[in-house]
Amino acid sequence: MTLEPAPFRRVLVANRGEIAVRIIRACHEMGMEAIAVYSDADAEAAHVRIADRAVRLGPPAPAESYLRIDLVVAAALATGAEAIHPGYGFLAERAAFARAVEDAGVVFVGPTSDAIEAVGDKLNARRLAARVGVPSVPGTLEPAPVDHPDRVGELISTARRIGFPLLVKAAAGGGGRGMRRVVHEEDLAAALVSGSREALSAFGDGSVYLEREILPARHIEVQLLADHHGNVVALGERDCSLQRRHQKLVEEAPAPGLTVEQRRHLHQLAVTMGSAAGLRNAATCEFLHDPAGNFWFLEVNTRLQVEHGVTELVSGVDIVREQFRIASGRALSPEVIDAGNRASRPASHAIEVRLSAEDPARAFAPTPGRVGRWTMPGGPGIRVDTHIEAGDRVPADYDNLIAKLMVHAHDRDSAIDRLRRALDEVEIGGVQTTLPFHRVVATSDAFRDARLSTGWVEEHWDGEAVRAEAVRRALLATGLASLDTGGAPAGPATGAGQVAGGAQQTQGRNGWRISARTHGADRWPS
Amino acid sequence: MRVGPAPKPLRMTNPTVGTGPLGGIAIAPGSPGNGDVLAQRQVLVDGEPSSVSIRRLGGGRHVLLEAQVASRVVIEPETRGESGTSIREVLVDGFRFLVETEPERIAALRERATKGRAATAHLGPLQVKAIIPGKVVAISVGIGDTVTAGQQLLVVEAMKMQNELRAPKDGTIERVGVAVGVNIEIGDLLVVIN
Repeated sequence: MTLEPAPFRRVLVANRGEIAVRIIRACHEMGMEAIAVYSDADAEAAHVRIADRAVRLGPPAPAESYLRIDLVVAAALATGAEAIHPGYGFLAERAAFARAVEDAGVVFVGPTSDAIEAVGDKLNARRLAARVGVPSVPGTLEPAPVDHPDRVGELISTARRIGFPLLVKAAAGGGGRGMRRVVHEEDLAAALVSGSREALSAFGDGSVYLEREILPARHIEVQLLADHHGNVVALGERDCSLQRRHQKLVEEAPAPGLTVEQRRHLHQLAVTMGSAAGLRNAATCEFLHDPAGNFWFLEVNTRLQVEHGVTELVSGVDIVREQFRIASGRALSPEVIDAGNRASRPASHAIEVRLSAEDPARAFAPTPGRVGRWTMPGGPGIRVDTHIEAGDRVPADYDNLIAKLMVHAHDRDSAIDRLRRALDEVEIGGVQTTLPFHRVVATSDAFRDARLSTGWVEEHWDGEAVRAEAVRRALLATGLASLDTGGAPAGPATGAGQVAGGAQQTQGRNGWRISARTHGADRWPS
Repeated sequence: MRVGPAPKPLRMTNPTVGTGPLGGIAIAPGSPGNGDVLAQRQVLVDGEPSSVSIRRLGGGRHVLLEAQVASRVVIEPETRGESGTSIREVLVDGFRFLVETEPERIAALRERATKGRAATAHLGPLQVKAIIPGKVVAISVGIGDTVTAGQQLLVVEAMKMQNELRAPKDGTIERVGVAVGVNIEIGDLLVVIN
């Protein structure tokens, strides 16, 4: 392949965390300078460390830093950046941001502001799907009249038609924010109000709508790449069914168990949506897959996804690199067209687990803090995308994803074996992470047999039981290790790994002191 | 989402002992360790005798071998806690725990104090404190309100998620220590229920 010139000379990366690091790496591989932006909470963060230059945005609160459109655009102009990559989250799907970037004469690495507006609003996307004959999840196509108490009756009859349980969803939503599950009719009004309130605070838009809850269902999404020359290619699909509170925990490519025909059909639905919406650059079309084999359109994400890496591993396409090529006006590379042609017959398998700072035994509650020990796996078929090293802080102000661990192998079974091996190598101290959950997934028969559903976590994860067993072993191990290191707590600090010393061996009759009482207690929850 | 109390350290009375229950496990006196095997013991797990050993791998890493099942355990160096206790971070099966070891004298004092408290616990006012840092986005109760256990008290936004704090017991709201929009830190007083 001939060497092509860098698409841009200098790029501003309007994000933080692992994705900013991932994008900056792509910039450097393509011979482009990378400008980072940061808040005061991230002054020493990894993306700042590896960028060629960094511009401070403001205080830690996202609304005063990473969400400040004016400051980000000003930073790009001040540093002479020719393009802005938004990553995911923050401003990535705000049409107003894309527009401000376009107006400033800087290239936005993503779809046009018009396309983002057209499908970024889930209600718009649902109406578009209806127009081009792509079946979407049954529900409403207009915002619920939350501020009109007089229209409650109308709303309830609509809800009855959709059927309970149903979901209240934010039109501007993503990541489950603003979403409420409603089982009983009488809870609908409260769910609409609280969902709308959360949506307003998260997205600045309180519009919510109703959608049937399809359960059991698998969450399957299709990765699209589209250029400015009319090419729209589906690179393959991902199964992201393992979720908690509608946030993904595990993603894999391809979706296990689909036939070649099903894959072709699914990819075609996504390409139809992408073409109809005039999408450019990278986008993802999300579907629910019910046990009857139907695919129901859910939403379009007009940005790079967190889980893009598994598609990169299976398709062989560097999606971020393609994003930059597309943004500079080039046609999709021959590798992408080729990967699109092979997408219905995937030749390998990749799995990603999200290591997040949350306690899986405590309803996945956030656990911000400072990371202590930090050991990531290595060896064949392993990719770790992270911004963390030992001693780094996980601020409470942002998303709690701290690492994406990906494994790649020739088939799914081998990928699961590799995942289990890789997870055994992981050591994370300082903050509790989702690691225990992923260890259970990697050894679970239900996961091995690809019995996947968005209800998987509720059905197969008993956090308290798994934790209780770990508590037992922690106490046993600590007790045993202390016995023979003579680890008298009131005495001088002894390294926990110390081998029994002669002096302490003789301290008690049998080499350790005898006491009448001992116990270990798990004081959680107290 | 409902969030329970924040995890506290696991507590273990001075483990340099022979027999006694250890989190439901009885450790019998055995031969002291040799070489890298730190300790080998006969233990009762759910009443069944079993052999347990722990082997040091260096760098805080250990292998716990229990009934032929090996698990990797990281035991970090201890740090000094309050009132003579020592605290170690222990990593097992992806979980991290703080194991607090307290001298027997202090354990006995604490147990007496706990017993005294337990007798009066249901009577006094209960202070509900923040277990996650974040921002208060809604308060559902006011002073003088009667609440029942499980009722929503307030909503805290942390890490982009809204966390509902619910009443841990029935009672009357005696005090609300925060206002909407206020940023809170772990341990801040939120509500007092009497």
